[in-house]
Amino acid sequence: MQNEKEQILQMIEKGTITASEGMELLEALKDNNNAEYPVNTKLTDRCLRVRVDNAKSKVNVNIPLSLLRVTSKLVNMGMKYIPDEARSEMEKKGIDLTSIDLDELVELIDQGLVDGKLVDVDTEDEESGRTRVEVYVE
Amino acid sequence: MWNKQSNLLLIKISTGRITKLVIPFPLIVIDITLDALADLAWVIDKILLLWRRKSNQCYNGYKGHHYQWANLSIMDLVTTLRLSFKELRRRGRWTMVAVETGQFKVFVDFY
Repeated sequence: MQNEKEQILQMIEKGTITASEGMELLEALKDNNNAEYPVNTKLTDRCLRVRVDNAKSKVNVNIPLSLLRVTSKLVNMGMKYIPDEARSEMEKKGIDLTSIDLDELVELIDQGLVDGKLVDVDTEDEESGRTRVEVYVE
Repeated sequence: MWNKQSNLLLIKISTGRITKLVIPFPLIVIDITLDALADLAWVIDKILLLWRRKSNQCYNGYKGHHYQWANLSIMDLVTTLRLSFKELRRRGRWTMVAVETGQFKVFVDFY
């Protein structure tokens, strides 16, 4: 953004554009920049979206990230009450549910993805036709 | 001031052109129930605390299912549920689930 600002200022300096035109460009740049990441700063407005689309059916599930964050506390709470027998059985298979930090996971989803897809699967089957599964944050 | 909070949970079921079913559920009912449960949870927590003390005396450090569940705080559970519910409501109008399979359609909307 700094580079673009400098370019606009240079254009004014060289006389390619007038000062008012430059001002307009700077304003547009500012607006553009605000619009680029409008939801990233507000966790409350963002959703984890799951889309399953094929010839026969469509499924859309929207889960607010803020809800995920709150319910992660509930899941963390529940992890403590897994019976010891079940826990040791899982540990034998190399599964340790308590090591999953859901808060961190939600944080990573929030920070790392502006409009990237977490899951994008596109398959074609003779029976059910083309199926697309997408999981993304929006 | 205008309130953006959703007030109704609508479960819409449609099976073709004729059959359409809309089940409205007032969210204020859940809100009041959870508020009431918070007080009850506080009482249950106090009872659990007494029971835990007795249980610890009886089992003297035994760590089985009794011990695990005795540490459960009902108040924490209800608080988290209330927070989750608040998060669901604060978004105003939105669709949580939409499933369409042929003529059969199910929607879970917050209104």
